[in-house]
Amino acid sequence: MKNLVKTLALSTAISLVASTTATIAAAQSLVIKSQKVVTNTGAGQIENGVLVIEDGRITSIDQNRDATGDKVIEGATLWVTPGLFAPFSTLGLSEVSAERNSNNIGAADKEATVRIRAADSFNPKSVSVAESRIGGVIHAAVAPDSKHNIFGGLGMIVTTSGEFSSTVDASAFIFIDYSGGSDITGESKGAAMAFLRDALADAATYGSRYDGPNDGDALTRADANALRMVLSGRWPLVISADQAVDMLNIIDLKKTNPRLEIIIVGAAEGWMVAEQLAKENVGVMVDPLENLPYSFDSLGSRLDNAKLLLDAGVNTAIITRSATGGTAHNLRLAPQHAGNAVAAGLSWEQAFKAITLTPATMFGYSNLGQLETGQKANLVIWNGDPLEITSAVVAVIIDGKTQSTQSRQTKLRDRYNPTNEGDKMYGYR
Amino acid sequence: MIKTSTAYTIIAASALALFGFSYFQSNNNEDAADAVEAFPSTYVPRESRQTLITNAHILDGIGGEFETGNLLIVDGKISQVGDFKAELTEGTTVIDAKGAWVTPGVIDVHSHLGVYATPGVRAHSDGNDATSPITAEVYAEHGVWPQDPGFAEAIAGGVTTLHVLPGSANLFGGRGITLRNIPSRTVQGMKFPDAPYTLKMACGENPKRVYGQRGGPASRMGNFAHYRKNWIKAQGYKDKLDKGEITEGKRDLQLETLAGVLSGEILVQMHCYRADEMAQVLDMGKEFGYKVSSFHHAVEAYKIPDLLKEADTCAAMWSDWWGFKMESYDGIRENIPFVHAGGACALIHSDSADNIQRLNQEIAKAWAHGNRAGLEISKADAWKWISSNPAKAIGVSDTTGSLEAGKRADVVIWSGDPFSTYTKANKVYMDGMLMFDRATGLKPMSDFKLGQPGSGE
Repeated sequence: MKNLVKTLALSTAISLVASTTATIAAAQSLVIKSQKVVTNTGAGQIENGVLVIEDGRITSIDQNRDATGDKVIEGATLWVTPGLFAPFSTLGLSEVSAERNSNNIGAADKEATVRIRAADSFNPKSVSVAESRIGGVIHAAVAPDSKHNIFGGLGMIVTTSGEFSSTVDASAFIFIDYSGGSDITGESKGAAMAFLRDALADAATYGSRYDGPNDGDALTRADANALRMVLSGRWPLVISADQAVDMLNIIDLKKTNPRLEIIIVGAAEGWMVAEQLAKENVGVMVDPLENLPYSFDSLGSRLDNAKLLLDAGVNTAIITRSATGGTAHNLRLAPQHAGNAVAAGLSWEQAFKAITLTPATMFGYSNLGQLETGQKANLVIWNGDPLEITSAVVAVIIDGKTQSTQSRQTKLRDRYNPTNEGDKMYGYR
Repeated sequence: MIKTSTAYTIIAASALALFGFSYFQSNNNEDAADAVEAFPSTYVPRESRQTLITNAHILDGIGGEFETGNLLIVDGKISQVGDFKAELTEGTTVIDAKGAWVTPGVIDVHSHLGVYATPGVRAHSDGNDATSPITAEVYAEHGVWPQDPGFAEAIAGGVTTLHVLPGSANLFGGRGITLRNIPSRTVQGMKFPDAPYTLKMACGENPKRVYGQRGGPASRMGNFAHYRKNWIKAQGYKDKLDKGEITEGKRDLQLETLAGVLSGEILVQMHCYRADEMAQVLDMGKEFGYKVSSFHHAVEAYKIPDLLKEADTCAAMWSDWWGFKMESYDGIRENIPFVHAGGACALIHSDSADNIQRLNQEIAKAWAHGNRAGLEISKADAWKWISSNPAKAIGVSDTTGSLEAGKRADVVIWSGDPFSTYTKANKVYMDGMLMFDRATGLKPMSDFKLGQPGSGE
């Protein structure tokens, strides 16, 4: 009986909010009266927080319950937070993973490597984009994966608005698949590292080396040109590796290229070299659900990897790569992964920042991971603690605009919902 | 191993009545009791202490809930559940579980632990004998590596029983095996005593992809033609078997398995995503007179709960996997609750060495999505998706899958509400034995993990 009451209360709350979200799109001002506003700034979490948006900008975050506006969303259990930021994904590059002609994740046979741009393939209308958005993911770093050699290419930052204008930054980072890529580069990490060193040297000597397109030791002229931006530290180098010793070798690259901004994605054995990662200011992206020796590169996987890294002072973001679809279709599982990191020892704040502010800052967009007055509103309203698996998104605002909470999946849900009592013939529902 | 006791034949009826065993019975009734059981289970629960768990929030796995209840374990079996005053005998361990939740042990009907063990090297790829689309003669248990480190992590997630299946490359993939999740040097030491064998079958994309360039099937049409041709052969074999015409030396392992399905002794577990395909498989079952025990993955089961209910066929599903292949494109997060609401047997499965560790969270997500869509499913009912319904799907519900008196004492004590991200399994009992205890660090470790980085954690 107790459960029944709870259930009813829950569904009532949702229907109330659902009916309001449809109309706030046109509103000039929106007031959200919540249980909690998570700012990710020095202001921390504001209990009973009230957040006001006017003309798409946040104009106040306080506890003024008397605030009024064109539209008011109020709920005793509502949480308002920065939107989730997927630290590393192939979102919008793939529709159906197994169908080669529906995805553009990597170029199999092309010479072009470093200069392949995610921005040339990203499709904001991919159904995964909407599923991510209604799961609270409003920004994503998107990278092409490697096929030809260890270089995936040039990654981008997008919103999940589904609009053609959803690119935040078309040239945000370079991705290298170090462990996976070694199969292609001679099935040897030694060969992969030699290739990477040569590539960095090609970029460093770009001005004097190339008379023709093929004068590099590792890269063509166009690819070497694309790599130059990582040498200055302007673009981070996102590089996948799991084995501790590989990470040390990658850190070593900074000796000859001191301005490299390195982010290691995977880092299953990161806890073993946490001190060195912290000292060299190398960030990591880890999946806190990984605890098995999936390969001989990750024999040291453990559930408290993220905690040990953070305790050592390593800048740590949380990814969902262990989930099926965890790099595109199921980016929406980020809160579950972060919540499990809390269960494994992180504070709630650390875990939540690891799926919002931390990755946003890694790419130079800290404002996309915070709620502050004066900013364009980029936020999510939840019906409870966002890291609880039973919580859900109530509304999403991207760049000041209230977003649709519909998707292909919600339409399938509505068509087949057993509580739907319409008498229309199948196919016309 | 020679079995001589008649008591044994009764206990082992469901698993053994047919092959190997009934064959010998039908041909040599005088010596029936001397029949050899192939690869018999050697699992024997160790003697366990009498344990009383008090003040717990209990979900019994068949829809019942006690907000404050007790649970008594005697001789490895559930003795009493609910609101009772226990008469304590000397030596009873009493656990005050105030604030904790108690449930039956988690059952996963779709695991590849052991057959696709970690680390994922080629040498550990033992789950698909992808040499022919028809390999009903292979047994998953012959590919299970008991040292897969994944078993121990599954215990930490409350999993006491799991069903290991061959993969889905083949139309008839081979026999599945039900295991107790106990550390053992041998597979036999893990085999769930008297659990029926199952037959893994596969619909759709995988078989036609694997065999499309290798002699077929190359289409869904070909899939069905192959199924039906082989069921016809199995009918002929079963006929001979029933007449005692299959004499020693003439057994056909492939047809033995298929005939076992036709006799109802072997339970069909069929990998199938699309609703339209499941509907055709159910019709094929009618054509040949067998039942599909459970569709696995069943991403579109929410489109046909009425058909599943009518056929008494379960759907074993994920909470939210979709989009990785065309036949998973229509996945929705309400799949499990919609099937449940339609009156069919709904259950969760992992198909993953990661998800098996937190199936409680997987059902929690599905439960929450279903209720947001307007359903009113209690947590007690939702727990069936992880306990009694999977037990039914693999034919072990007579001894496990619920906290009812007389059942195996497969019990999990959770740190709190298991429908929360933050909750963990604190204690796991199997047949009354404490197998995992977070507080004391009691947890098995495979031989493989010894001496590896992080093995102390």
